[in-house]
Amino acid sequence: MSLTFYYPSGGFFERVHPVSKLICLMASFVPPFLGNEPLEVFPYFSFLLLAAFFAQAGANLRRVYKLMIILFVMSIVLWAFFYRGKSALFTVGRIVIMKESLLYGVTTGIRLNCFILSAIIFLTSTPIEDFTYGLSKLGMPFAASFALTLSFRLTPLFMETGQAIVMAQKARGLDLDSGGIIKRIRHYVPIIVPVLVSGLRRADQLAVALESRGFGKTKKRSAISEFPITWRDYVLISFILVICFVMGAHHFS
Amino acid sequence: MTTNLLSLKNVSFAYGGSERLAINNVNFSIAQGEFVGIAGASGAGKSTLIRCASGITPQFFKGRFSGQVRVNARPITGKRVAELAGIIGTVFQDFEAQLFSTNVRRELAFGMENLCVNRKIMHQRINKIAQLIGLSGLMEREPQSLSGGQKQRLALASVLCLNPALLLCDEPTTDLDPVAKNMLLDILDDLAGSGNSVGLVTHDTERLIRADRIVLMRDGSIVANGKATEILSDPQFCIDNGLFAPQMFSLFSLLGLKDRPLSVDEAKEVLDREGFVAKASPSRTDITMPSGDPLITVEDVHFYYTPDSPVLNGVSLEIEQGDFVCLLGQNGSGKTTLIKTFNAFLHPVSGRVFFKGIPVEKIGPSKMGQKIGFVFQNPDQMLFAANVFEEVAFGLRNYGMPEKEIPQKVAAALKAVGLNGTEDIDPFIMVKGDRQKLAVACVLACEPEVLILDEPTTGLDANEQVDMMELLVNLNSLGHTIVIITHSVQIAASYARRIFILDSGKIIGEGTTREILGKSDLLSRANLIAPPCVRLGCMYGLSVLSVSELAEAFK
Repeated sequence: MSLTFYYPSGGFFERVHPVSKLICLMASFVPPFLGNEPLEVFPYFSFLLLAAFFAQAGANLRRVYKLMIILFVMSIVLWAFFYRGKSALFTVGRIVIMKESLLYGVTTGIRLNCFILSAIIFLTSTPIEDFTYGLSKLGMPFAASFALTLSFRLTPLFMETGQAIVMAQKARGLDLDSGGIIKRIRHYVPIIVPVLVSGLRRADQLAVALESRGFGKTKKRSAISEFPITWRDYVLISFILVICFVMGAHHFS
Repeated sequence: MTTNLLSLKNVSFAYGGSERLAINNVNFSIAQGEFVGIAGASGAGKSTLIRCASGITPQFFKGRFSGQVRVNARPITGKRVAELAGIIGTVFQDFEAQLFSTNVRRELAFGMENLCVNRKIMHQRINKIAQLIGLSGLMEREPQSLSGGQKQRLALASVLCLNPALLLCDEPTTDLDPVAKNMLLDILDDLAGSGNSVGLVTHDTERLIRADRIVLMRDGSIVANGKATEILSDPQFCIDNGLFAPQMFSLFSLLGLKDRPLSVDEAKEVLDREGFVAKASPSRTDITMPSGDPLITVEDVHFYYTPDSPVLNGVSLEIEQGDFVCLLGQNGSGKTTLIKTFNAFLHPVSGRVFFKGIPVEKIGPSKMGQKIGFVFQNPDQMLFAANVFEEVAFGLRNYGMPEKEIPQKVAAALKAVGLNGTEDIDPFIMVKGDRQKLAVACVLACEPEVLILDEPTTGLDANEQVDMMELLVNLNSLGHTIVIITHSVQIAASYARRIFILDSGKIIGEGTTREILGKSDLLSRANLIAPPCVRLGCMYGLSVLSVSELAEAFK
């Protein structure tokens, strides 16, 4: 059972230089804003979906698809209230649903899911160390980029600890699902306290362990992995640029 | 004259605002190429000594520091720990917190990358160290997916890759099985042999005796310093300092011999020379088996997280009411997974688990808690309350105990574990041994029929271990069925009535403690080694379980 998103496949995306990948990740956030109608952003979404399967991110998609659906539905519901439209479509009870708000909600929902797909492709094909390396090559100090990517390293560990703690408290008869809302929140105290305590303890020990292995001794650092720039880098960057260009031309014309 | 690689002069340290000195005016040194063992009871100041020697104190732990620490004759005061990396390597007890990389190779590379080591040299060192430590086949594995023992070896290897002149290890073997423990000691021995200096903190005296020199600490001071054969020769002195006396030393002391043999073979040689003859085993009246009513029945249980790596491979066993059972096996053999099926925490992929004939999934995990009490390995994963009373009362309230009966039940549980009078103390300031006992009290208060403990003695010193185990023996005599999981054959030999040996998700041996310990081939199949007294007994054709039994046979 893997706890991180990274899946070592040795495929196309994995062999792209981390800096190119970071640039492409950022560039991939642009096209969703170059479409205002569901039909304008949907092709890009389908393209990303294909790319995700190409990057062997299927297993990760299965882990997040619920979140993607929730985001999509939430977006439609929220914008139905907050985006003012002109033409009424139908009514739900006393609420009038406008055509424009509905379309805007759908578009935004697709946009959000595009961001998730880009991020999934990136995380599936990039070990955390390469992520850190890419950020520091882009000019971020190593300590800062390490700290930034540390959350990706530690989240799965916290979840694992959390599961162990839930099990330990259930063994003491803790029933998480009974009672009213206040009671339920109180039920989480025996879980949250040990999670926080072990998290803090762990952070302390990690700081010591990192320094003992020379973390921050010098500003320069060597890297075990080699990152040659290949045709893949050019292909990926050009691909993204072409998409941005085509969608941009359509958008501004 | 040998040069001292490390020397501490009049070093004292007190944590935070505490008045108590964790170490008090300590003078300590390690010569180049020397392997020094550091021993003592919990709280004697061993870890603080290691932290001071590596510069971690006072940089990371604030407090009052005085004295001087020199490495290679240069004072390290004021230097950052990172600057000392490559000269001093430190391996910590909590190996989980030392691992954070995507795979084993990158974990090993991390320190060298920080020191700007050339890529080619990095690969060479990684391959060499991985082979030495037995991690070669695991290079692409995620550290979190490794077993406890493999993780602990990886933590050591990641430090060894920096090629430190001085290696300091704080309890690096707690989660290793006996074979891996011996391997690790061989590596430390070799390191010292090739000119590196090694400092090793451990409670494990059977292995400590292999060090060139032993330093014994008590209440923050060094109370003895010399060869193992001198320092640990008196069993009573060992116990007073929270250590189990090495078994061969105890045996020879009981037999009135002056020698202190470092190995079983050496002991046999001396005994033969002195003309000791073993009498045939006197017929032993082991405590008779319990009633025979099956309490927990496991029928052909299979379990996996992913189908290609099965954890349990068809386990069947029966635990009888009133028994004292030990599940023995190396790390990753499936022990912890197995007990989680007892409480319906994990559902077997196939096979069934019954409690008194009723399938456990019908009873459900939270109701099972009243029947089977679980004490997990790490007490910190269950303690949360502001004081001891609330902590113990938590389970009782969950099971709907009337409020007026609670104080009495809490008091009874605390008394049973020897923590009476601590009701108002904050669990987090208790020492590890007490937190472990408190965890037992929490579970005990709900009066379960079975008590299951996962590695109840890990990280405890000798006296704390004996305390914990005596507590379990006592509870057993009151009618509780006890099941412990351990990789310590010593603990199983001393306390269990019945042993199951688990290896790669299968039960490969089951029987009374005496039967199982006599089968050394069975033990070695599971990477386990019988304690020295059992092995020496075997050489004379005796089946003994303790030093005193063996000594009797020679009288």
